Amino acid sequence: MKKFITIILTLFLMISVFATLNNFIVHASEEIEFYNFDFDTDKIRENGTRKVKISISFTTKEEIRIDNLVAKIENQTQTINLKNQQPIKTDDSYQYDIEFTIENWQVGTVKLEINYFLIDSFEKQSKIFYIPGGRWIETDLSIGNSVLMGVIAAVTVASATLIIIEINKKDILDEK
Amino acid sequence: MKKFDFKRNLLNLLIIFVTIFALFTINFAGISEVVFNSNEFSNNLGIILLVSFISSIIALLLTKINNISLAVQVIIIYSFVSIVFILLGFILYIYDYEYNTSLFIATTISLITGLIIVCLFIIIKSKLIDKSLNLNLQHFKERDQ
Repeated sequence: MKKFITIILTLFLMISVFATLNNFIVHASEEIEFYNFDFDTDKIRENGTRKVKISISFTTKEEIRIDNLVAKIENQTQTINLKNQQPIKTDDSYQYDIEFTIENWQVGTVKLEINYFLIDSFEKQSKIFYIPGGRWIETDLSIGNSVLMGVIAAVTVASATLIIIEINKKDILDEK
Repeated sequence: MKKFDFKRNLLNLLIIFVTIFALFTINFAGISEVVFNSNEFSNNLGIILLVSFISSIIALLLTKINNISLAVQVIIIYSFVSIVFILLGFILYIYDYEYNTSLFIATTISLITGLIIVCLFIIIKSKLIDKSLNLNLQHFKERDQ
């Protein structure tokens, strides 16, 4: 009896290991390679809200359908839906250029998860990239640039005032 | 009673409008370029045009106040233009306390310094003109005697 239970347990273990490995191999074989991943970040402002525009580009050997992007920054998660993202077909690959905006990105690295499907599959897969940020987003202007812009403002306001005063003076003299 | 010269006032209004519009455009375009590395400021040209036009009408009316000294008139017009400039900056989200504190403080200090310099310039210029007139007057008096 003891021997029988051991055989059954061993068989069960073997089946489990086989199933796990099989599953892993199937997934590994279906995973798509992303080539030439590149990104660019730019500060923008929309309706008074600070945002960061991120442009990413990559190529794949097989065509994929991108479902959405999930951007995680510390405790903040933002999902960007990209249902109609069409790739550019080149000779032997597919080029993807995606632009999206992230709100409230002050510091830290963005963990970008690209969720996609293969063309003839309904199984969702994902690829993770990390986009580094910096403290440059937090402060808009350096002290030097702020002072420079302030001085330009003062000079232009002073010039405008003197022009307005001169017009008035000329007017009074002409009237006299 | 003085006749209202419509043509002259219209021309003055146009000059003041162009001056104020140029002032706002130069500054906000510069800040937009330096801060956001973009020309998104151009989306707000309509608001800038409207504010410039209203400001130029008010500035023209301010220049019509003649029973005050030149220095006071300079202070009033300079302060008015500065306040409109800062307020428009707030409307366009350029001068906010949250992100652009250094820019706001630097601009405010520069504007106050500019006002002091312009006032000193006007006062010194007036004094020199007065001195020159007094000397001329003295000269005429001496000649008559």
